[in-house]
Amino acid sequence: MNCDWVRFAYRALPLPAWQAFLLERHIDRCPRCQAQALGDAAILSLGVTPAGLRNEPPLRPFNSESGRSRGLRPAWRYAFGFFLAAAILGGAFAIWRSVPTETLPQGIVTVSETEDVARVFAVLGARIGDAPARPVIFAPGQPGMTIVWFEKNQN
Amino acid sequence: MSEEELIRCARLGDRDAFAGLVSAHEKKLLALCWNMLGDREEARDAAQDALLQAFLNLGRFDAGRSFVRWLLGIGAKRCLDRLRKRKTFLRYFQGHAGEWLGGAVPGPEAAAAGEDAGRLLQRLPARERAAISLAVFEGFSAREIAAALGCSESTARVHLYNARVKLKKEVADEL
Repeated sequence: MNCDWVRFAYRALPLPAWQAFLLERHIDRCPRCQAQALGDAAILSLGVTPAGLRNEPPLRPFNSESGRSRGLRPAWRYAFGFFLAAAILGGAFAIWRSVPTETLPQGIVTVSETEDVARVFAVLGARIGDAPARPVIFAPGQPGMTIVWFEKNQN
Repeated sequence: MSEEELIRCARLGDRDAFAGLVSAHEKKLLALCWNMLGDREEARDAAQDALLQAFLNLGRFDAGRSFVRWLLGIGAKRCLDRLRKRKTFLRYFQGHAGEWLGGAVPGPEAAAAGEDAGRLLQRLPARERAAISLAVFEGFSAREIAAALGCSESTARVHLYNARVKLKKEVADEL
């Protein structure tokens, strides 16, 4: 068999398996073909071997602290997340429940009008919930507008 | 602890067990990465990447296989990824470096030949370099190389033979 042809055919993929097998057998055993290729010993001298890395500092698979894993396993992470979310929702609900609902101010407002010169009104009393409230009257200066609101007494 | 026990503990997230598992093989992994990448620092980065990948994918490891071969296969793939990115970067860099630097631009050989160790190996194409590194330095069979590189067994054999022929020429040219 012509060695040049064998080497050409061997590199020219794809080949049927039986042809590749025959060509490999030839290359493995033919001294001329083997002489074209560099042997293992020579190749080993070209590169780095593990024995030559004795003084290399060890690799660090994890840059964080050594020791047993401090992280939680995934199932526990989900459970932790669930309980954390439940605690946050529970806290928010408790806060919402503790805030008293606003009650509409109750009071009697009487307005007496005289002709078209002035509009006079008086607040006789006001309560927010069960507690007396303080009326505040504000006239923004806009014709025909007076704002009245009630505040809780800050005692 | 035996390797099987270490693997079992590492699968449960025990980092100590994983560190113990890889400590015996990390020099092999580093040597493989160094031979493939030709640069110590990049080899260390690639080896770290490979260890992390191995830890994250330990659940997929087939206990019937050799752990070190599996780890080295991951290392070879990480190095091939890096070489692919380096090639893309160099192609882009060389296309634009003239505008950026306005001067002479080093060729890919100059960029790749970072250190003397493995200098001739760096002249091989990436997959041939991977094949010869795994076969000669780590004793992989053609079938194992094929599994590691994701190619057919006959392709792995051709990579090996081509690499040997090219290295023979390189060595002869150096002398």
